[in-house]
Amino acid sequence: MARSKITNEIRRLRFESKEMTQQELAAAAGVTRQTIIAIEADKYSPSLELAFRIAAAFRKPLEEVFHYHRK
Amino acid sequence: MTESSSLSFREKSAWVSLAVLLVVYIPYFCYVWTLADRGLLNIATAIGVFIAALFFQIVLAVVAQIVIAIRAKVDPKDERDAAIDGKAFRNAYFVLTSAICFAAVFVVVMGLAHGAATVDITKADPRVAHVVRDLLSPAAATQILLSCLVISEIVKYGTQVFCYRRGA
Repeated sequence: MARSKITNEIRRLRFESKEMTQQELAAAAGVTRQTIIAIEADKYSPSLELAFRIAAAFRKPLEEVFHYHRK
Repeated sequence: MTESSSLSFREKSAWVSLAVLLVVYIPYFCYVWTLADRGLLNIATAIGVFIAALFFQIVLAVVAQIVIAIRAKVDPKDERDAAIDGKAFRNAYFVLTSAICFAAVFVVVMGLAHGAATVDITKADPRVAHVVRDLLSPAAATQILLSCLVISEIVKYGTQVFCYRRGA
């Protein structure tokens, strides 16, 4: 099975959303701030449901927030 | 814009649980080892020392958890916490089953050695016979099983701490 990596634009989108804090995004997505920190740093890949919730918090489609890279 | 990564309640809780286990059970097993070495370890002593260790563990854990709950915001468990818990339990279960299998094989081997020493007592080294007899006692068996349990708990909290520190 090919290795893959999921990256994201969360930091940029937070900046563009009136400098939304990690805590505000965490509250909107229903997770802890530490989970947002881990996702933002590409250290944790969220479930599909959480990815949709994060995208919904930015009012963006999923593919504008998360990118899938095949190695 | 990027806030600092302070420890979450669950990470602090994992650190505290790991520290409590080490603080209580390292001295406990050292003490039990000295008792066994002097030939003073019997089932009554083992149970007494274990109850004392358990009491200290409960008191330390409860006080520490209350302190961190007061100082840190208690967030509900999210999917990353659940994933980390899953990894921790998987590693702990593997260690527990491996340790118990190892302990069972160890007891069987020691039993065979004891049998051999009993059959040909004239050839048995008295020091070896003493160690074998002590290791086959019910008190020693309970300590071996308890050590398996404690090691698996240390692995569980160690895995949680590792995963939280690594960020995954």
